[in-house]
Amino acid sequence: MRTPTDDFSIHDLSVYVPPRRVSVERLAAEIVQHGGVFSGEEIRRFKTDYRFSHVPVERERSLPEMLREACHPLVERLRRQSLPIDRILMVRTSELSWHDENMLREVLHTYGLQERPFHAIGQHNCASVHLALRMARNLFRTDPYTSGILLVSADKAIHPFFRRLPDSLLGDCASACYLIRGRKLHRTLLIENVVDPTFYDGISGKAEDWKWFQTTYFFALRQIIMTTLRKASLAFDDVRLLIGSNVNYRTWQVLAEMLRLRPDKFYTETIAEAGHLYCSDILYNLQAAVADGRLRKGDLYLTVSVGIGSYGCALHQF
Amino acid sequence: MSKLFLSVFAAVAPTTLSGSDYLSSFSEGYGAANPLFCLFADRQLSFQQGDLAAGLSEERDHIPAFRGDFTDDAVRFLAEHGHGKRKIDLLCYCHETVGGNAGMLPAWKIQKRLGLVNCLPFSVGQQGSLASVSGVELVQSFFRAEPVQHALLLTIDHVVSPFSRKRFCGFAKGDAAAWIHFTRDEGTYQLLYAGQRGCCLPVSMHQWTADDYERAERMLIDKALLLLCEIRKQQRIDWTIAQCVSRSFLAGLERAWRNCDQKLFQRTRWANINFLGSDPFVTLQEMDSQITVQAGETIALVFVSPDHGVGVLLLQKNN
Amino acid sequence: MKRNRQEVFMEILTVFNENNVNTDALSFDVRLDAPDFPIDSVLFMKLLVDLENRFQIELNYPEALGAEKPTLGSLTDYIEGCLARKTQ
Repeated sequence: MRTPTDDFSIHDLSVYVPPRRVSVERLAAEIVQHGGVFSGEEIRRFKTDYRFSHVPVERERSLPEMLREACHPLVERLRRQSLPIDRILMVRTSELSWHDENMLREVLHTYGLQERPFHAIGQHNCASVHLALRMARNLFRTDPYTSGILLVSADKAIHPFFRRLPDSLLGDCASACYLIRGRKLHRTLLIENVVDPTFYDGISGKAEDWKWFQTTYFFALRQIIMTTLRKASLAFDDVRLLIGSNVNYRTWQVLAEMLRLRPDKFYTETIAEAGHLYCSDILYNLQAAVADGRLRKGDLYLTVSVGIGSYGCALHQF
Repeated sequence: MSKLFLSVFAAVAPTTLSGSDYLSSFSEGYGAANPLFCLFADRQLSFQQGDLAAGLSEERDHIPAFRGDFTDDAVRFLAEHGHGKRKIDLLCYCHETVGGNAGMLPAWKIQKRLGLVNCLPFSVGQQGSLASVSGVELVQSFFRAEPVQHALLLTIDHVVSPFSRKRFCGFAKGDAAAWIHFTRDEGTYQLLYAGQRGCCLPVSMHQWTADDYERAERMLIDKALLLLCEIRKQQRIDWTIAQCVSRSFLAGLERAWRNCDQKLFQRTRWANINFLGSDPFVTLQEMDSQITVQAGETIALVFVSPDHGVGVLLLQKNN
Repeated sequence: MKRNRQEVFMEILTVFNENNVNTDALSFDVRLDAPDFPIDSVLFMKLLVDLENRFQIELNYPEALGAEKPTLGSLTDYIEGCLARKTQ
């Protein structure tokens, strides 16, 4: 029996982004065509202030098929390395789906994983990814027979209205990552989650609730980041990069100013071409940041996710 | 390993839907603006598909169904049982159904309305009726890994149109809620085991025939029996309750379990309704009112989802 | 240094004044989440960071601001509680 340990790492990951990219103008036209609102001024704001240009849109594959596309390359690599998948965690931003349908059917049958314990968690909006990391950490801590966890996520906007938030644009995406006990590629050291349940109605909530969310937004982000650093006895200078949700560019620009950090302390390079990829942002950006050379071996970095009323932050080491 | 105690309460929806009301709800126009309609359109499914009517009698059948916002019922149930006054560290909301308001987060709403501060809410869904077992596993993991003292797990389901309440030979799906209060030191039961065994057909459930459904059921009976026998190697099972999925499932499991010198306790009230993730808890409540379970005796609750597999909770009656 | 509720409140108003917020109409009952509360997100964060520095405390976001109706009074009570814990 292996001894439980606090350490776990993101060992490998795979992201499926639909090849079709749609411009902000085109999305705005689709929303207006369906009776929604997306004014010229808003298009300007989304492009100039928020730095969105295009978002990926899935028109062919269902969510299970998107998950298959994300999982296949990763699980093949794990198989070749004889790395075990002992549990499966799924996390999504949206609650809108067929909850009695097994979304991972094809993956489970292809790789003989049907009997694996499965947990599908959510209701932290796009910060659910950090909730999943915390669940994974707890499972590693308490179950000595769990050595490897497959964490998957997939979301798509099934109607043009669902693609636009007041200050963000959502792109369809599926992702999979392999979490492994011990100190491997991207060690995960600390995880924090914060929820303000006032915003339970999300964007359908009362105007005053939405205003309050906007008022408290930057402070809540600042607090979760500071809390994570404080618990690790670290300062901003000790972390190479903050990898955040692609909620919009302005969020990170303003936060950098308030925290007296250089703007490039936040990784925002993918916002223009990918938009906000729900719970898959963090993994997509992590992959991109490593490919860009923005992270080097040994670097400490933070991942920060944002939902409407929910926030997640984790400290990692490459 | 530290012990985990729990107290369970269950409540069936206080109002009912007649068979004819249920069928007529599908004739209301669902336009593209309805988010639930978009789910069907995304899979190119018509919401008339699926066996809406089979087994339902327009005049006779009444199905427990929440009216309006089911979270109001949930908050009322919980407040009546004093949960608004306790310090709760964790609120786990389990569900199989989507509910009527796609944008609302029920776990947050319940937390806010109960005034729970410094409480981590989260949901477990997307795994049929196994969400309840999965939620218990995760709550147990929190208790073992973090300084959690009190947790509340709610499982609530509210079937709304255009989702069907009937599937082939399965019992009609009814609305109900159950909630479990977990602590480290006291409760009606001690949790001895929480676990799942996944299984699913290689065919998408949207393409199932009646034969596929029955094949899935047979697979579930086999898996449930295997899991129960595995548990029984480590721990005696005195009572067994199984989710009321269908007559054939209950009969099949009962027969197989009888061959192992065990029997199922079968619910008499709402015997032909499947209350999804709350179902075994509803039966537990009925059993509790009819039978005096002795301290130390164990009860296995079997949860079943045709497209996900089986799960079992093993509880031991506390002193 | 121990402060009572009124003293904490006055210090909060001082911080607001230092950030050019007009405090003439501010009382315990003023709702922080009122639509007409004259503070945007950037100023809000500045104010709270200045309060942290003034009182040498760390504000826990859900506890400090998560009241059913967050008011200047509830914020005052929260800060007073933090200070009391510090002196214990």
